[in-house]
Amino acid sequence: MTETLVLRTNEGIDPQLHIWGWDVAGYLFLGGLVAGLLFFIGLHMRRSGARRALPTSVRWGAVAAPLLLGAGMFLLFLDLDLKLHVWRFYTAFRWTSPMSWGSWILLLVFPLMLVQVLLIAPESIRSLLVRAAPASWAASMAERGWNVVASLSILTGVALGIYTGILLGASVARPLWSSAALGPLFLASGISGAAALLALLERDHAARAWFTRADVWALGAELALIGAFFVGHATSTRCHIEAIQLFLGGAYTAPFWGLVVVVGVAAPLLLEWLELRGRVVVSAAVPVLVLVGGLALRYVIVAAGQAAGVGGDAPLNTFF
Amino acid sequence: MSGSLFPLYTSGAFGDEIVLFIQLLVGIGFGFALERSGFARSENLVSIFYGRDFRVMRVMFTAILTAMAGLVMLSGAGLMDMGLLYLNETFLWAQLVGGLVLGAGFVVSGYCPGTSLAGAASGRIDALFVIAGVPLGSWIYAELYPLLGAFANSASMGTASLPSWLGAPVWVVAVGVFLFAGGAFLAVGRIERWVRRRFVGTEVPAPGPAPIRINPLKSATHHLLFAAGLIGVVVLGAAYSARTVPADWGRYVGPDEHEHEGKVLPPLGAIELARILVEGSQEIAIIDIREGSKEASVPGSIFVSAGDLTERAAAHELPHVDAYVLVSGDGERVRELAPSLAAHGLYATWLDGGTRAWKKAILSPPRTPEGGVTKDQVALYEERASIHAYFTDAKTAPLKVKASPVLKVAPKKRKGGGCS
Repeated sequence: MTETLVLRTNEGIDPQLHIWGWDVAGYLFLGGLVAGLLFFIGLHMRRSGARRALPTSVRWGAVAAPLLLGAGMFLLFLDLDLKLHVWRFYTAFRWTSPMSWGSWILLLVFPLMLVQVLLIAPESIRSLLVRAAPASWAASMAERGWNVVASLSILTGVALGIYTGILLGASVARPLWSSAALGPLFLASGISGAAALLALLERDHAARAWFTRADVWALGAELALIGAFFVGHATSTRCHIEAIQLFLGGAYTAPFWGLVVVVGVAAPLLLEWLELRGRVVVSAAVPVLVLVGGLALRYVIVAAGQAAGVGGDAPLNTFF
Repeated sequence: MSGSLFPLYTSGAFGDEIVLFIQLLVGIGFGFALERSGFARSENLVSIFYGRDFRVMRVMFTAILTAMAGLVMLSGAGLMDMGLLYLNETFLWAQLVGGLVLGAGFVVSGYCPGTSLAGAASGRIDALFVIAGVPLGSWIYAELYPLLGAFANSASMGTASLPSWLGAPVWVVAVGVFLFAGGAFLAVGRIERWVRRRFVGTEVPAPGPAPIRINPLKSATHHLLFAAGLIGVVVLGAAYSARTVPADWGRYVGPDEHEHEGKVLPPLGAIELARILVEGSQEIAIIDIREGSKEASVPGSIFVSAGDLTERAAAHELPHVDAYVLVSGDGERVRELAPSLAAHGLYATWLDGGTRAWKKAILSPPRTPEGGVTKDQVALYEERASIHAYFTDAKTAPLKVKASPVLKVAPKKRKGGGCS
């Protein structure tokens, strides 16, 4: 029997192709979720205007956002090989590097989120914080700049959401990731995840319906962007066409179409649409599906993007 | 729900990835139908037992009739092979007791395993408790198994089905089930009316849904569908029965932990075996029983002496594959050994002509066809040459191999079935 062995067992000869794992996928998911939360917080702050009447879920969302982003950045920290060197991100700014952009965006988003907590967090939490004098002063300053905070929130939300996709797209060596649709796709997914989370937290029926409607739009946009992602790859260069085969019969077909498209987008979209038309009453399971789908989207894209390289999905050292 | 997409999966129409995806769609559809027909509400299931509302039973019987009519008609039309359908083995008494225990669980909880998932998805807390109960009950059963095992495995009837047990043609049984279901539909309607009438004139509101206004068009459609199913089952079921014996219905044969039903398959020629090996299309083990010289052995052979063979088969020490190909020097001794492997529940065949034939047909170069040959002969030569090159490491053009023969073995045993 003819047996062809390609021995590539020498350490360091082949580039390490699979270097990002669940932690990066988890960070991208949480980052996108926070981006969506910032978007909706800003939107509702603008909508409420002088009345200052915000849905309860939005108030709690403002509390959750810094915690979720903190958890996401902790995952990113876990991914670092040289953990003690984390401060070096903040000694330089390279405008050509999305990594550098990201680390600065993340740092700048935190003050904004803290101001939002002081402004709109539920009274039980706010009263704890405002007792401290500087916080009280900051809160009164922010109160005057309500609309500025709202607009900033929308802008940073969109920037953060797009950035999580561009971070992947910047790597030309990974054909699956190099797509202009990835940034908007992750943004739409982040917004839909945030709408689902807020719908999950909301008790008021009218406000809940508002978030459900927002989720239907965001999920619809996500579906369209997934389509754009496929069209973009299918009409691009040979290596893009081969990379997208991972989702068209290749190793990631079932996770992508099953978990991401059907479970995470199509099924919740259908059920929420039916709910808005008064045909069914959906439970907490539907927003949970949207969140699971959002996590699955990041996980599948991160994993498949690294598989689409030399040798397709075959592990490098063992392929014959 | 069964674990695979039958029969499209077994026919290899899709890859695993696509099958997983289709299973997901079927599952979502199943869950949605369960939820929409009220199975996710424990009240609806329990109200059967008070005689108030039989909707769950109606849906269940309709599902049974639809599935049965589909199976009978498809196999009658020759579109489906009932022999491939996997049926759980019947252990009469254990399953009667188990059925009663399960039924008691239904009454107490108002759910069965499948509907509890639908209930949980529609936000019912009690359904979550039922879901938690499933692994808990399984664990308790596993712990008690040393005590219960003897009872659980007693009174095996093999893979029993009503037609094979009664010895009646499939269509007769199917018509019987149709009539039984029709009668049950009429009877439960009466019971519902009777129970509700007892509340008329009292201050207690009638239980169950308000009387359904019957849409004459819908009702006529339902009757028509019922009649169409009945006629289809009689016509196509009779066509099926004319072709087969009753015992074939749903009779699953294959390797099994309890029952050993192996089979001796027709012998393989050297070329056929080579095709299977080149394509790697089937999981086979090649067992060479020669004790002396191992000359001209088939690549990948394992060497087991004739004396050890049945012993190792009995002890499950042979590799787990779909079929076993026995090889000897001349192909004579293995002819007698194959049935003994089959007796241990394995699919066995042998290499016709043994390694002598292998050496002649595969290991020696084929003779070049000379003068006035047909296209077929050239194709045959090309295939022989490429097979020869494949097994002797000779340099060659890409392989040109005809499709490998298919050893007809039963599909691997799968779990599943039941109302879950």
